[in-house]
Amino acid sequence: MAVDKDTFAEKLRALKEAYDAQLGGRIDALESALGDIGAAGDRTGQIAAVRKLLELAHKIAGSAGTFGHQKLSATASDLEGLCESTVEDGEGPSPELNQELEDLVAACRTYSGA
Amino acid sequence: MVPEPNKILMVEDEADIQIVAKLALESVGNFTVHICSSGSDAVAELPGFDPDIILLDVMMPGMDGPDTFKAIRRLGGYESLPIIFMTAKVMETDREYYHSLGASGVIAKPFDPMTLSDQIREIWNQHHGR
Repeated sequence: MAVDKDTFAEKLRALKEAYDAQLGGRIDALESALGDIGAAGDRTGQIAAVRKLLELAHKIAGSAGTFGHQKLSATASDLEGLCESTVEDGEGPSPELNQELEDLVAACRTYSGA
Repeated sequence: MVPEPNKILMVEDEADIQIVAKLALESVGNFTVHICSSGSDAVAELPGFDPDIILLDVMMPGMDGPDTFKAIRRLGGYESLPIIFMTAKVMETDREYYHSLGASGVIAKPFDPMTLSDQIREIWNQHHGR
């Protein structure tokens, strides 16, 4: 059943607050993925860790903008693209990937209020 | 006369997007929405729900969007069911690929919850040549 605009906006606001509240968990997951890349013993392990990072970035890129966080979504999209090219090239992670990841973590902190 | 769409099957693995899309489609669009978290669930649950439209995420673990699309078409009886891809990959070459599969439309992620229902109805109308 359709609800009025104010009720919808109120529900959407509550969802946004819940989304923002769980950004801290996403930061932990991103940092964990970065640790996995550093700890990987070989290129195969690094690429597997980058794939995991790609999935995390993809989820943020797709969801953050829907909650009005366009900059967070764009930052995640940048990291996602870099992860994709890293996986495709098979060359291993570049320093640029670390920088993009740091940018995304910083953006998550901004919106989570952490 | 072409009826208005009522039932939407959304295939999406990201919980946050599931929740906000369901709220938007039910509250703003007055649709009945059923969510599946994977392509394989969608293929299994499609006959029971019998939707008017499918919203299909592209990048999902396991069976991705295009593979799910092909599996649905292979089921039989769903050859003309409108399927709309939802994706952040909306470059012209990406769109051409989705349409070459037979998609009725593409909705870009992130989407605006306020206008999602309108976008779907617009694609529905195009699909039926209105």
